[in-house]
Amino acid sequence: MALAIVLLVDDEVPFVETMTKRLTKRELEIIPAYTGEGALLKLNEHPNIEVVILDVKMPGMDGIDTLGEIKKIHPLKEVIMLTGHATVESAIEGMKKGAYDYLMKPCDIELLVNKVTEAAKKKRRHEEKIIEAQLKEITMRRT
Amino acid sequence: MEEKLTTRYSKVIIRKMIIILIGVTFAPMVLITGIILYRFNTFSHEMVYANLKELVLRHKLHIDFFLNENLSHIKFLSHNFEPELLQDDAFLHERLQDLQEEYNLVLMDLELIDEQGRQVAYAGPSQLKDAFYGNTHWFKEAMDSPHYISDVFKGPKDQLQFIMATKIQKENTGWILKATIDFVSMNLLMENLKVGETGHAYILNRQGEFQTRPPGKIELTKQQYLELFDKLEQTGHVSDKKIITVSAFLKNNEWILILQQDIDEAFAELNFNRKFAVLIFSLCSLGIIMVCVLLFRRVDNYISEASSEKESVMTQQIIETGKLDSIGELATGIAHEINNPVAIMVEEAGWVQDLLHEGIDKNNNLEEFIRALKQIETQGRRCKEITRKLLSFGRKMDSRVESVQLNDLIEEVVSLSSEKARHANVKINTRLDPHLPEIQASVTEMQQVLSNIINNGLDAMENKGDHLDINSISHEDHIVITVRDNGPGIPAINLSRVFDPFFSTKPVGKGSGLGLSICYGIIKKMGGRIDFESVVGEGSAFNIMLPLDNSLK
Repeated sequence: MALAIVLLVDDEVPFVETMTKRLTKRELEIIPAYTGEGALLKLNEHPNIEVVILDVKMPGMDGIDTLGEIKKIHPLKEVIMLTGHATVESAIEGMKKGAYDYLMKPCDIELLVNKVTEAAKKKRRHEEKIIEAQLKEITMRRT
Repeated sequence: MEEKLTTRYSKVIIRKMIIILIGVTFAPMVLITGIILYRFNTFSHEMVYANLKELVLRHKLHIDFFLNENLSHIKFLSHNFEPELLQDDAFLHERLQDLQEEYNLVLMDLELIDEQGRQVAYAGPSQLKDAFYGNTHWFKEAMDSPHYISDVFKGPKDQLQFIMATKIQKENTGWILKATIDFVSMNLLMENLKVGETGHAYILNRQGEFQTRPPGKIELTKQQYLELFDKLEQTGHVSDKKIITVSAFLKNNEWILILQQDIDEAFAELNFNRKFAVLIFSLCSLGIIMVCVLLFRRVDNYISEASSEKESVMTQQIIETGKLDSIGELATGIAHEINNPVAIMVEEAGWVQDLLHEGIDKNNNLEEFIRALKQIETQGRRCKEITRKLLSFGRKMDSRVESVQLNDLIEEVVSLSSEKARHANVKINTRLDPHLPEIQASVTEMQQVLSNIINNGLDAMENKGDHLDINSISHEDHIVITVRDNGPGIPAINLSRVFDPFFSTKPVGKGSGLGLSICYGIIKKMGGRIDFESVVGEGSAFNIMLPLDNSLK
């Protein structure tokens, strides 16, 4: 069983390929995507995706826009932003839109894995709490 | 046009300033000069009249003294000698001779007349015997008063003369001792009273008859003479005759002594001074006006020099700032562009390390090693390409003017912007005139212009546009480069501000607002022109026109 199911989004194909191999080796299940639009499609195809690693600078729909869309449709999925250059502005923008964290390219693979697993744990806790709350509600109704 | 407007505006200001300064300077000057001239005028008039008056008064005393002296001679005879003695012609003759010797023939004759007007005794030149004066006007007057002085009349030999008479009262009988005074001697006194060329003195009686020689050329009407009696000792000028008169009464107010002088002469000095003052005033005014005009012309020159200097310094500063600006922009772009291959290389290296941990014993692994190394090499080349572009850009950072083929420059800038265009989802189409001649320009500056306009177009389209067309066309004496985007266009409210420095519609931190103003400055400096057309919703097109024979200004 993988540590987490991750959607990796970047317009640089070789980057996605190599990253997929390395992260897979670290017991993460990776689903690759190369554009913002592609990422949204993949999220619909694989509802069990827990964490999204998202490049900020992409042609067409960029990372920030994609983040907004993801959070709109899948509010529980955690997103880690990845970019070639971190500006305060895009960091603030990302955090505002609900990104879990922000990492600079090239980043340390272990750090990324840690962030992903933490994000996945957070997501699961979140889901558990929601399920608990729903269960409580159901039992409350029954009693 | 703009310059003309500025000049016209500054001319209006300068003219206004000159008028204000002249006004401010002149108002007090005119006021002070006016007051001084008025005071000086009044004072001079007073002085002239006072001088004349003093002269007249002195002569009045003189004449009064003359008359009194003569009268007192007769009175002396009448008081000191008995009428019986005076009845003797010889005695009277002796007395006449004494007086004539003493006083220079002023007395012409002496005569004793009885109450009835009959001549009793006579001493004098006319051999007048037994004359009868009982009916004459003067005799009656002389009988009624202790002494009498007649007006001037013509004597028997057409000689002008006047009579002095004194009454002798002895018991019940009265006599008149009469003397005839030579008129010439009186005139001699008047001759002394001459002022300048035109100043004459004369004596009038109450009938307006001259008692002395009449004045020279200007004579008044009898009425005007008579009026002088009413204005006793008044000074003034008779308007239609251009003369001034000063008068004093003589002989118990029966005669009037008048000193008359031409106004022009009387006030000659005053007039001269007035003319002199006016001349000085005019010279001063002229001086002030000239100084004002010169001063403001100079100020105007200084201002326009300073402002043009300031303008050129500002343009230069904006261009320099823009250079830094575009270096900054470039650095960001390059950093981003270079980061992607670097990230891939780092990941490939990491992957190789991952594989090494597993051991190099599987075929699979070896292929992976080779693939990873090839990928690292590919990405390394990508980095090298980026740095090459960067180097070529850096090399051209100087603003030396050289022959530039704009088509090449356009291609270069387009390739530098390709990454940005890719992210903006914009396709850049170039349609370049293959026969475009080279122009004299600074590569850096032209690069700056092109990259500013192209990047502006890309920014304007954000992710919404789809193509950016760049054309170059050569004409007879100029070339035109057009950059057309199909972005949102420029709203009408911003149209006039597009080339203003620091005007930007981008969010704070994204743009300095200098880009297009730098382009404007550079193109203008090259003697070219930059303009644009824009339709909201359809896009904008920027046209750069550059002259072929541009000598850098």
